[in-house]
Amino acid sequence: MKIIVNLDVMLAKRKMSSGELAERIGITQANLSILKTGKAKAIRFSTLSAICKELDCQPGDILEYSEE
Amino acid sequence: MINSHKSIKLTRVYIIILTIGFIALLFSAPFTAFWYTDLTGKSDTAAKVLIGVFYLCSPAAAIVIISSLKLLNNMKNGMFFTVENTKHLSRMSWSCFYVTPICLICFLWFYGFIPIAVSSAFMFLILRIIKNVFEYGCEIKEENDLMV
Repeated sequence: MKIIVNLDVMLAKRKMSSGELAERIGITQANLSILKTGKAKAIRFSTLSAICKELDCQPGDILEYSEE
Repeated sequence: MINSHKSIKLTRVYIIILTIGFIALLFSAPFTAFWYTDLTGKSDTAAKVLIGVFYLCSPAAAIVIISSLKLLNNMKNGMFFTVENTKHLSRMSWSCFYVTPICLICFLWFYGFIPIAVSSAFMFLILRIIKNVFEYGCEIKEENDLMV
């Protein structure tokens, strides 16, 4: 059971680089990398809403639940 | 006023003074023990016991001194909840535990060893608690570091 972060997919769809997103939502590239690589243990609602705002998507487009 | 930076500095100075005393005793323990037993009118066996106890406990003392200096150094550099600090605390606590039975046995020759045995057992328990707190702190820190 784990949560898969599909941030790469959304970034590709919006043709946006991770550096640009990090700058727009006001977090470091290192932190965004933690999120992208699935190492993150938690995500703040404020970060999630900022990502959704910038990528014009829903939380479900970024986060996915998997049984494995 | 005393603050965390000053208290770390003060503890370092105190440990360095203790280290100097410890090193001096490492070389002078036999003379000091015989001088003490002569002064208090105790037998030569008592002096030999004192020397034996000191040299048996000295590795533990060295571990405590080195670990506490490293721990204070990490704290001075702002590294508090790290796995390394937890290991230092664990080493220190087991060193205290190691001293306890030795002092308990030596109570047969010197009653003065009883408070030392009680203190070291108490220090063992206190250090275990602090170690567990640091371990929990490490977990919280890791979780916090991985929260985006």
